[in-house]
Amino acid sequence: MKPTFPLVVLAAALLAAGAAIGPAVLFAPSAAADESKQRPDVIVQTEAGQKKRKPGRIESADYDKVVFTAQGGKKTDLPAIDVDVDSIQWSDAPAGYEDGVRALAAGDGETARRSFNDALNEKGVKPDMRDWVIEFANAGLGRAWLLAGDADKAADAFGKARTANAKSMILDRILLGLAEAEAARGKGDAAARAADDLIAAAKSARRSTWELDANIVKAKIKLAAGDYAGAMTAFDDTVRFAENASLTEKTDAGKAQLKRAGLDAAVRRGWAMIKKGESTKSQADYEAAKSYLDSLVSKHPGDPSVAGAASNAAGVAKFASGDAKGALRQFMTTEVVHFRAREEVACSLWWQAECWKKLGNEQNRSDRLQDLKKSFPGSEWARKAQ
Amino acid sequence: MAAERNDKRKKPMEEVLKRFDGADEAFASFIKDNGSHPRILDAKLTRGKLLQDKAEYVKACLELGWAPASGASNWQKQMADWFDQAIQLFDAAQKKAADDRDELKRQRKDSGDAWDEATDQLAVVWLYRIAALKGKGEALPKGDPTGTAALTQAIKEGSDDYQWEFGSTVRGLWAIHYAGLAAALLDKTADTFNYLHTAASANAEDDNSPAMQEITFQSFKELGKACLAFGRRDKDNWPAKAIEEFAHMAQAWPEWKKHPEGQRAGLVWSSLLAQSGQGDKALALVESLCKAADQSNSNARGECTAMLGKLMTGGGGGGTAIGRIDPETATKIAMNKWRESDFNGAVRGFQAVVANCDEREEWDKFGWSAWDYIGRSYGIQGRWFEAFLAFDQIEQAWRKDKVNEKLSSLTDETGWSRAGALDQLSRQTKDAEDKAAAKRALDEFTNDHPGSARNLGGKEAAAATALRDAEGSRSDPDAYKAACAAALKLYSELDAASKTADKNKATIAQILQKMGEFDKAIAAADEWLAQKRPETTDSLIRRSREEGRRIVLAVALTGRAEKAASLARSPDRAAAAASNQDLLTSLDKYGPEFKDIASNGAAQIDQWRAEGLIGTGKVDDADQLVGKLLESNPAGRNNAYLCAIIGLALERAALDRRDNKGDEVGYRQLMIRSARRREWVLDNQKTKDGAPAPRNPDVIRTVGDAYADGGDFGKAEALLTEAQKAYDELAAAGKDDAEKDKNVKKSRTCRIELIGLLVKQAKFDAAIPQLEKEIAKDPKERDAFLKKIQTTDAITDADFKKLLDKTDANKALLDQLSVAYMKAPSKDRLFAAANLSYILNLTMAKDERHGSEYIDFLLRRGEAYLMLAEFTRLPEHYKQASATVRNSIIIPGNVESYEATRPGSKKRGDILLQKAEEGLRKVGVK
Repeated sequence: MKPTFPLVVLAAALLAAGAAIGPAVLFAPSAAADESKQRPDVIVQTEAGQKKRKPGRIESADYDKVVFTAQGGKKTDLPAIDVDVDSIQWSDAPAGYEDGVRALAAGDGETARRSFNDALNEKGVKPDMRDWVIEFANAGLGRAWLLAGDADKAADAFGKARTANAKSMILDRILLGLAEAEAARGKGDAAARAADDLIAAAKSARRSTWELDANIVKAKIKLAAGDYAGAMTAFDDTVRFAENASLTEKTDAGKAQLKRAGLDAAVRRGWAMIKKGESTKSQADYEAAKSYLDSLVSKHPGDPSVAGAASNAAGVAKFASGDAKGALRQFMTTEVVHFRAREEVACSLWWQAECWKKLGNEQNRSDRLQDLKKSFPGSEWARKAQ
Repeated sequence: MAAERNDKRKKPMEEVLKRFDGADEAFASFIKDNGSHPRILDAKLTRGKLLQDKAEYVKACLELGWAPASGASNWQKQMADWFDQAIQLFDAAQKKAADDRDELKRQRKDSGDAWDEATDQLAVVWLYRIAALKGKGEALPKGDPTGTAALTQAIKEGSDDYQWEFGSTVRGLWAIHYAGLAAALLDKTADTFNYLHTAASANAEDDNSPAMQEITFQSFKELGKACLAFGRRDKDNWPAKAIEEFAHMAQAWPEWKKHPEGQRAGLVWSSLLAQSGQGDKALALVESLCKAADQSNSNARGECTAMLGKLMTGGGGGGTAIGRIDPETATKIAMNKWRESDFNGAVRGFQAVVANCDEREEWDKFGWSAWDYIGRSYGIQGRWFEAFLAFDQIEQAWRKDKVNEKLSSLTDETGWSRAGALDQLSRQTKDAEDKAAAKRALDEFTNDHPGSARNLGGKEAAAATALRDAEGSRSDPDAYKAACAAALKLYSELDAASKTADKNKATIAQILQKMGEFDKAIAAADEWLAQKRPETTDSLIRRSREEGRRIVLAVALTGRAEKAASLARSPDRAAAAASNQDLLTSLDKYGPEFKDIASNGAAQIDQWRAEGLIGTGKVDDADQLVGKLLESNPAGRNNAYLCAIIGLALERAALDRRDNKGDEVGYRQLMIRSARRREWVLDNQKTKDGAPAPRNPDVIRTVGDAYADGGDFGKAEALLTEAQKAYDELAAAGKDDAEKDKNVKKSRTCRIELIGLLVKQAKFDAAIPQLEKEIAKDPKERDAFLKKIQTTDAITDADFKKLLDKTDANKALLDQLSVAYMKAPSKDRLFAAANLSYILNLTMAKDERHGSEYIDFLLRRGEAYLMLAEFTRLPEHYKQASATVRNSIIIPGNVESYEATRPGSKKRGDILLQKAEEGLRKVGVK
């Protein structure tokens, strides 16, 4: 799963809490309210499948424990693992923080950077403000710098977030972000170390999804380094991990989440095989990738991501064999038929542009790239098209 | 022409400006040549307005990107120049108007029509001038001294000078509105807010002044926009202030959503909400605005839908997309894109429709049409392969489910579009393979859709078109029936010897079913199926026969199911049972073949069988069947429906057992079974992601009530408590007061039903005081109410309503209390019970009248009188008991229909009458 900043609500929906997995702790901006009214902190928990909002005061929030005093109640230690804390709303969020969270969600890196810096500056001049701001705002700032393409500053920000709280509830976001930043600045080893640190924390925090995400990041690092065999093995390990974890997972939602994660890893494995083919330029490697993804389709009929990936893989294989027209039709099929798989559609648009380039139609090439940038602005394919 | 904002429909900018220039020249010439003309003032005013409009048009062009950006500064200078000219014209006109008025004053004619007209002229032209000053300031770059001076002047005149003369008029408010806009352009946050607030809040809807609507809503809108732009500055949170103002607007103008400008103001409100993290409220608001705009056919409709689309996709200021969207709303958004000729946007929009269709009904109503529009959108853009792929989705779906009426009808057209797309593609690519594929698709269309108007002769095409057109009037039952009748006539006149005769005859049966002529439809379908046909090698005849057979199989079964459903509440129980038996028989006969040709055919057969068994009184068999289905296919799509119908059937059987057979034990057993079936739904429903669905408190409550009636009080208490808690949470999280209030009431009902459990457990001494306490918070009102209903039944309907107005009594409370009173009777309590039962009937909603509860309360009233009569031995009470049955049930002829609705009611009524008669004889009246 791609690391995303905690605010993204869609990610929150995917990462619905399951006790054994552990919740993905996400932060939601406080609802706008009259400044003159005192707002409590709010933790949102899942109990018996239902989300419950509990106002009160959060004393501390770590991945293994949230110390919380409910309104009108007494201070309790909520074991964050067993009591599903989905998200937190801090009552004293500086305006810049909330603006930054919203800007990140909208993909507006510049506003996000400005806003998070404002929030950190405000914390700097208001020592009474709680320290969570340093942890969360730096995590947001790191993500904003990644959007801007400045991996050095991103790594710095993530590092500060980690220093602020080594047991942060959003440690996955911090370490995954750090890994991404390190990988982006060519420091594969540092990236792998960040991923390993997350795996260690995941075991301690009993959060399978963290381990899953870290394994995927490690696999991607290997892929980026051209270690295709290593990447494929890492993705296979992730698939197996997800399968095993789902056997012991108690909740249906958790099982569904793990199944999804395993399937995503399997699809990425297919893409690793394609990348190998692109590197070796061997038709046999392309065919192997296509074959693998087709077998996934038979095992998971109707899954749009799998079907989209298989369709794209077939397109890439055709393109590599010189059949630009056939490849184009394949990519068009992904766009029209498998439109639910957004990443694959973004990929197909990029490849359609390549096909049109090969076929000498500059207008269509330009149109596809424009559509890609407009419809999928945050995707790696849109960045590739810049 | 200048007002057109649609990119595809707009005229070229040069052409529009040429028109402006032409008009301007004409006015300029008139003014030059006719200095002393009586209409010279009007001419100057009109020219001034024309120049203003021209400048506004160019401003719009720059904003929409229709004017080359490189010339922006040039245009700005020109716009400022036009405003300047306009200001000079208005200056002159204003001076003249002021002079004319002063002259009248000198002549001591400062009242009357001439004075009013002169004053009016002055007010109008001055207001135009203020608007032009603001326009000039807006046209010039920020910080430009001339522009700043113009804006400052606009503020001064609008907020001060003009107010002295015309402060108490609508124009006065417009002047202060312009002052506010000018202040916004100068970044004067507090002044902007104050001026626009003044203009917006001067009146309310109660003042009944339609002229105020425009200024009010426009001012709220501009206030919102300005605050959105200001954001948080220093210590002020302008967006939050604006949100408060909009809340006031909604209070002062309850009908605000009906006005297009109100709708536009609402859109700005929604942007503020979205930006402040209240995405759910923003979305709910915009959805309500879309609805209001639709209902009022407002010209703000497109903007409302566009905002909805923005919010759904995260572009409305709220960041991330907010939740899933129902297919109907998604269709509205997509259609907006289509109408605006934004075909790329339309593709994405209709993809959202497809992505959000889950149930078959949603697919039939929205999903398949969405694929059609996707195909058309791609086709319009010349993307023929993509268009083919989209149409192919529909075609492939039809091939898997040829009984589906929607798909069959749609593919008669989209099959053609599919072939057409490949044909266009082959012309584009000139590729031999593409050409061959196009031919193959056309052959497939000819073979697979012989009934399509595209494949038919003239008469058949006309009949097919008439039938398709009839579907368009489905929302109007009378029009639909008439259109179907017209199509039926055309089909009946077709050549019986044509190659498509078999399908045509089958279609006749289908049309009869659509018209509700079930017997005729079933007879036609049966006749078709029974008819022997000679073998043929003609592919068209074979196709027609295959299609016809699919149609009549569906008619034979669905027609019978619909007929049985239509008789469910009929007083003719024998006819209803016969119809259900006929359904069961036809399932045995046609079911196996139907299962093979219909997708989900097996599930549909099971559902019909369960309904048929219930309809023939074989509730236990139906229950067994449902049990087996739940076990064998726990994720079955129809499971919730099956559990609901069997739950209801078991409940009716329970009531019959108790009231007709006096079997209390049997009643409770059946109620428990009913509760369990209903509870299955609660425990097993899943969301689309496979997670347990949130438990609906309305359903929890129903199940709790059923367990209570079955005697499992522990379970009932647990469920009712759960429901109460859920309602409390919904009330706390309510989006608005109406929602909060609704859930607070429901929570209270649960509380009352929990007290009612005491009644069921015969703990009347505990229950009755608690129930009486619930009547009203004020003990005086409570006592007054109780005293009245316990001492007399001579209370008029109007008095009952007055009494109720002073209490917190609701249906659940009155119901429980009346039952408790009758179980622990005294003279006073029985009087009260009779009155309470009457109130329950009196206050029932129209659509609940003559329903099961209504009948129950009616009989309870009679029974209360009967019991009262045993206490008082007064003939009038026996007579009242008997009158309840005679006047409300026997005389109006409701006996059979009431029995159908509420099994056992006839027997109860008979017993009441009998005992009342006996009572009257005992007291010597008869």
